[in-house]
Order: sequence, then structure tokens, then C-alpha cells
Amino acid sequence: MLYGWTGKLLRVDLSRREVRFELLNEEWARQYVGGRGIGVKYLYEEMDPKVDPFDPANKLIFASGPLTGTMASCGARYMVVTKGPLTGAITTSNSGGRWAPELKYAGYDMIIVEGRAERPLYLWVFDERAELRDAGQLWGKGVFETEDSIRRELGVADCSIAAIGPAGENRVRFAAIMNDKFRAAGRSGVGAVMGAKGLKAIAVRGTGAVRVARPQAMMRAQWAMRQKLAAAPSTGGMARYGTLGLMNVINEHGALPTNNFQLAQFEEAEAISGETLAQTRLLANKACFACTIACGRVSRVAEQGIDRYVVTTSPRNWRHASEGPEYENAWALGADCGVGDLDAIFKANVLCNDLGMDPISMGATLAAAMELYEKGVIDEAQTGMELRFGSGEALVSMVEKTALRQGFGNELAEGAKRMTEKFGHGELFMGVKGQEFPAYDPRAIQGMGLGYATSNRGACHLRAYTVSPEILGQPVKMDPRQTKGKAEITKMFQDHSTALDATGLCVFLTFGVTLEDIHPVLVAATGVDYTFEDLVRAGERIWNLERLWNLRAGLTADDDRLPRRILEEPIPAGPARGEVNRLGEMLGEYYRLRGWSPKGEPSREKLAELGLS
Amino acid sequence: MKDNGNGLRIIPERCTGCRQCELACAWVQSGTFQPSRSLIRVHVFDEQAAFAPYVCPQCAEAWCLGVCPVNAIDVAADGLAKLVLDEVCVGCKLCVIACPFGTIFYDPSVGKAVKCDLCAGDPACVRACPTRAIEYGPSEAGRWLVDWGRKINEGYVRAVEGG
Amino acid sequence: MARVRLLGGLADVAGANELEIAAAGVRELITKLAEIGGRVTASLLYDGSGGLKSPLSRDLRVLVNGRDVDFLGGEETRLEEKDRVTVFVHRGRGFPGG
Repeated sequence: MLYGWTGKLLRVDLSRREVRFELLNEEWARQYVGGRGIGVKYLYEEMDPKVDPFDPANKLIFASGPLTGTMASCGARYMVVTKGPLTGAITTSNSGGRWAPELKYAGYDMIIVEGRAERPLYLWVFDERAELRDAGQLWGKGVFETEDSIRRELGVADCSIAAIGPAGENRVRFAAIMNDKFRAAGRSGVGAVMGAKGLKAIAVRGTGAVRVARPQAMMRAQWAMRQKLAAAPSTGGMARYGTLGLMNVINEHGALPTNNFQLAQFEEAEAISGETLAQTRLLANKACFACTIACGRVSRVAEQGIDRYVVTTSPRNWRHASEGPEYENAWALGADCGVGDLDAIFKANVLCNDLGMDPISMGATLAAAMELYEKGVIDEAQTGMELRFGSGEALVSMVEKTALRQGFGNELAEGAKRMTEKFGHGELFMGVKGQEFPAYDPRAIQGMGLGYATSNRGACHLRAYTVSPEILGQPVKMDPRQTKGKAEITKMFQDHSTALDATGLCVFLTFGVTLEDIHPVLVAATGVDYTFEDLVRAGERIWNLERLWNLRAGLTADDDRLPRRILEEPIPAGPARGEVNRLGEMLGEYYRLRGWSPKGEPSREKLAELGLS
Repeated sequence: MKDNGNGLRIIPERCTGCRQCELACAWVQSGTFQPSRSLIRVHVFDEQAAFAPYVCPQCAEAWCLGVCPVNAIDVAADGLAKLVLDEVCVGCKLCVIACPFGTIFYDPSVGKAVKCDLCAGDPACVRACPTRAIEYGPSEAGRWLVDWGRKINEGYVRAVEGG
Repeated sequence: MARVRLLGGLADVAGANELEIAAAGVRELITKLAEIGGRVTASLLYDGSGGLKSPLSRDLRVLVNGRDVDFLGGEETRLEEKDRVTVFVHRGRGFPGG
């Protein structure tokens, strides 16, 4: 008998229009824990990494963890694991809300989606019943309307829905899978894979239970963790300003990428900061399931913004509240595009949610296009409108056009790498492995450069958040300008974060607690007597398995690279003026610490040590 | 019938919609994590930016109590709680039909009605709430329902009329 | 006069997000800042409850011209005319989230 895990999964064959129940591989569950770990293991064992991401042979895995759906703070998460259309690498995109707990209560740890539907379908899971239903009427609809329609059709008010919007259907390479309307498995184009499979949505309702092995120990452990989390005042800061509280902090350090990384400070940062949002547009904080932090923002357009930035796809009431914007979104749609109007950012962000796109890649791709435009590489005849940095009109308009692949939006929909290469300026793509950078300039924060370069799913801030020591001073203070010690801390953060991702909890827990606080909760819930070292080792095992997958997919050490601008063009102004990223000083040491060859391949000894040979 | 005593007070402005209260209540009911068994339910109105738990208001003149043909619903000695007496309840569900708030349930696994009994004075939902959106103390039966309605209505009015 | 930028909760407490404070160094600046917001600000800026003599809070981040003073001269960092100082409090205890 498994505890924490439900021990079952759903296998959905869209080509045959079949759903089957399967037992979870218990040995894998123990070794890879769950969530990101077990999802990666299944993908590794079942799929040829060389297939095209849009091929029916690509698999789309939704994996929750053993702590998902328990009372442990922030136990709301699931991971979408597949081959990413943006990167060609393995991707693991995480989301919260209440969809994953609902899946657990229905009785499943995972859903594995295979094949391709002849006609659009959606999956309906209600406890032991699972069926594929016609989604013809829903195709083309936004995420919000899709949710409302499915809920009406099913007549089950309490169901939770994960869906794609038009962006996923149109295979926008950074399309997201949205659940509970506003929560996103955002990056690398997981929504485009779902679209290519012809799967519009997965609705879930569960009335069952998540059982734990040692109930009393579980309640004690989760309560201790929660108390510690509540006592960490950064948690209070998160409640007050959300992630957007970082906007001013990063800008003051001169590490806020602006105008496609041409600058590292944004003059209008204050106007798009968490402080400004809280004063002018914030209505409420919102939590994901079981979350005791509540970083989510519910806000709205300011009165003066209601009639600005005309939206053509569908009329909508801009007085309605909506979620966001978060720091990353406000940075990409804001500073990176030079846009300093929160209303434009808010509308673009709502559209990204409803149309089902990753706002980071959207903003960053548009920023690259704006640079091409301002440099005269592309002109209005191609773009259909002025694409100047700072234009809120261009921002909102291009978000819509991208999701629908209309006009120049069709170019943006390919992501910044393909788009800049098409116009002969691949050097203006700011990212790694085809995925655009998030909101920290790696020239001003050296460790982030290594983290971006070595992230298995392309540039990502969530794989090794060295901003924590380098800017926020936790758990130790490290100089962001130095490279010394960064390889070691990057590896450690990667392993810890990966282990955390496997539990089904949220990475934001670590603003207040560490993996050591989470460890006893996992042991009590599962009844598996992991030592703390076992748990860290599981993180390392998963990281290396992702790496092996990427190597089999054809990626090499050459893909652990930063763009020329980051390595050679110094930041022109501000506190970090004159800095470039010195990746070369860190990467070799990182490979050594990982037990990898200079070509970035895990050694035989390392694989044996991790049980991967 | 007493209309004063210790009861729940729900402060909707503080709720973040996290459902820790549901998890805690379900734990009391079932010893597992199973929100479908919770007697307190969080309602989320996204477009109105309003979320709030909703639970038996422990009516001063309780419909469930009045309608029960076998007098299986009693008033707690020390407070507002209306209690289902398991040994008396015959599972006829009349109370479920009579309750205008939808806060008394039928549990098919035991064939009895089940409702919030305020955890004998130490409500688990109160302890579980991270933002103190549920308090326990002297209160008038169902007084919080007024705040609850106002909060949801404000969001609606804002969405329709602006301001 | 140094230009002092206050972020997040500190600005709320002090009632302004930008101040001009005459101070020869970081220690003096923090002392003056603590007085502006009274006890509340002091509690954010200092560890313990011993008032202004306690050591600076380990959660306090002070930047001079965008550079954390830990990598300059710490509390002893001198301030020049027109220096731009940023102060914020981050009291996380965990890692490696974000």
C-alpha cells in the first residue's frame, strides 16, 4: 500500500480514443519521488528523445507529487513533462492552483497523454470514471470561456480544469497550459504540444482521499514547517507585494534587463513595481490550494486604462478582476519591452492567460523584434505597425496577433531564437537552448548566468535561484560580481530545487523554509524512510536523468552557452556598468563538481553512484 | 433557544482562498486529506476578487432542527452549535432538504446527516486558517453572513459600475 | 545629502519612498533612518529589541549606488555628496526558491 502517492495513473491514447488505468511503478516512485522526478523517469523510459515535439510520439505527462493534495503548505503543484517545442530539450513546467490536488482526490498521481486526436477532444476525469469527450465547439475559444463552457456542460461546479487557448492550438512555440484560469504551466511550449495532440482540456473532479502513512507525525511535521514559514517575514513581503516586490530591488541593483538586454536599468521601474500595484490596482491576494503564503495578485486595470489599448479578439469587461501580473510577467511585458504602463502590462498579461501563452517568452520575443525594428532590420511593411520600445499599443496588439498567428504575430509565435535567425540576427536572441531569459541580467548577477546556461529546460530562474544569496543574502551572502563559489552553489540549488519539485510542493516555500524542513513531512506522508541525503540525491538523480535525456536528444555542451551580448557587451550604464558574464570561469568547475566530462557528459562513476547506469 | 454564545465569525476580506480550512475540517471528519468531506467550503468568485469560506451559520431558529422527525438535532449546551445525534438520526435527509444554506450534508458511508458542530469548542478550521479569516468567539448566529454577502456584492458592483 | 530610496514595507513605515538624509556614513544614515519611523522602523533595521545600539539587522540590505555595502565597507562605508542609497529589508530564511 502506497501512502502520499495514490499509486495509480491514467494513460490516455488520443489516437485510439482510449483511457486506461495503470498502477504506478512503485520502485520509480521511491527513487524519483514524484512530480518532476517521476514524470522525467517515465518520459525517459518510454519515449525516443529524437522525435519532433509535435509528433504524436511525443508524450505529454502531468505529474503530481506525494505531498500534492495534503495539508502541507503549498501542496498544490504538478509538473508537465514533455519535449519542449521551444527548445527541443526535455521540459518540466510547473503549475499550482487546485487542479493537481483534485487529480489526487480522483485517485491518480499522473496522466500520460499519447498520440493525436483525429478531432479535438477533452478529457473528463471524475473519480474512477474517465472519458474523452468531443471538444469541437471549444476549439478556438480562450481559456476562460473554455473553462466556463466545460463546467456548464458537465454540470459539476467543483471540477477543476486545465486547458489550452488559441495559442496552444496554433502551436505557438511558447504556448502554456492554463489551469483554474490563471495558473500556468508556462514555459517551453507545453501548451503547443497539447494543441498538436488535439487535446483541448482536462477537467477533473475527485471526491476521494489522499492517505498518509503516519497521520500524527504528518500533522506535526506539516505544522512545524508551516509555523517556520509563517515566521519568516519574507513570507509577509510576498503576501504584501507578491513577486512583483522584486521589481525595484532588482532595478536598484542595476540587474533589470531593459529593451532586450541593451540596458540593465529601467527608468520607469517604479511605475510597474509591486509597491505601485499595491497602491493603485491590487484588489486581493490569492492563494493556490493549501498555500499559506498567498503570493498571487488579483488586480484590475486602473480607471484611466479601461478604454486604452484596444483589444480586438473578444470584447471583455476590463472592470473585472484578474490575476497578475507577477514579477516575471511584468518584467518581460514591461521593462524588457520598455513599457512602463501597468495597464498595458495588465491587459497583455490577461490576454496571455486567456489565449494561453507564456508571458516571459512573449515579452522577450517582442523585445527582440523591437530591437530589430529600431535597428532598421525589419520595417512597418513587415510588422504592420510601429514596434518601438515603450509602445503599450504594440505590446497588447502583438500579444493577440501572436496567439492567433496573424500578420507579424506569425513570426513572433516561433520564439525569439527562430525569429531573430530568420531576419539574419540570431545574436539578438537573449536566451539559452532556444528559451528566452527571465528577469535577471546575468552580467550583473554572475551565478544566474551559470544557472541559465546549465538549466536542462533552457534559460530558467527556477532551477537555481542564486538571486537568493547574490542579491537577497540568503542563506549566505555572496557577491553578485564574483564567480568564485558560484558553481558549487548552483549545483546545490539545482539538486535541492529539483528534489522539492518532486515532492509536489511549491518552490516559493523556500523563501521561508529549506528542504530540511520539508524532509520530515515527506517521510511522514509516504512512510518511506528517506534520509535527508537520500532526498538531495534524488534531486541529483533527476537532474542527471534530464541531462541524459537531452544528450540523447542531440544536445551537447555547446548548448550550455550564453549569447554574445551577455559574454562580450558590457552593461553600458548603472550600478553594474562594465560587467559581462564570465561563464568560462564557472562552467568547467560546474562540470567537475557534477562529475561530468569537459564535454558535459555524466561520467560512468557518477551514473553508477546515482543508480543510473 | 439561545441566540448568543460562541460561534464562528467569518471575515471574508482576509480569505485568500487557500482551503486550509477544508483540509482541516476533512481531517476531523475522516482522518485523511479529503476536502469533499469538509463541512466548510470555500467559495471563489474570481472576477469579483472575492473568496470566502461558507459554513453552517448555526441558525437561532434552525430549519434542520425544526424539520427533523425524530429530534436527532440538538442544541449544544454551551453555545450556538446544532448537533446531529448519531444514535438518533435515521438518515431521512429531511434536514438536508430543509436547510436553506446547504450546510448540512448526508454521509452515505454511515447513512447519517452530518453538519458543523464547532468541534466542541475548538474548531479545526479556525486553527488552520493562515490569515485569521475564521475566528471563534462570542457571536450572534449567522451574523457573518451579512459581511459575506456585502463582500461579494461589492465586487459585483465594482465590476459593473466601476469605482 | 545622500538620496535614500526606501523599498517595500520600509517606505510604508517611513511614509515616503525617497528621502534626503545628511550622513557621513552608512551607520549614521541608518541611525537617522531609524529615528524617522520610530520604533517600527528601528525594529526593521536592528536585530533584537535593544533599541538603536543593537547590531544592524542581518536582514537589512543597504546599497550605495547599487552596490551592497557588504562588498564595500559595511556599516563603515563612507557616503559622498550625491550618493544614492537604497535600503530594503528581506528576511527570508530559506533557499533556493524564487
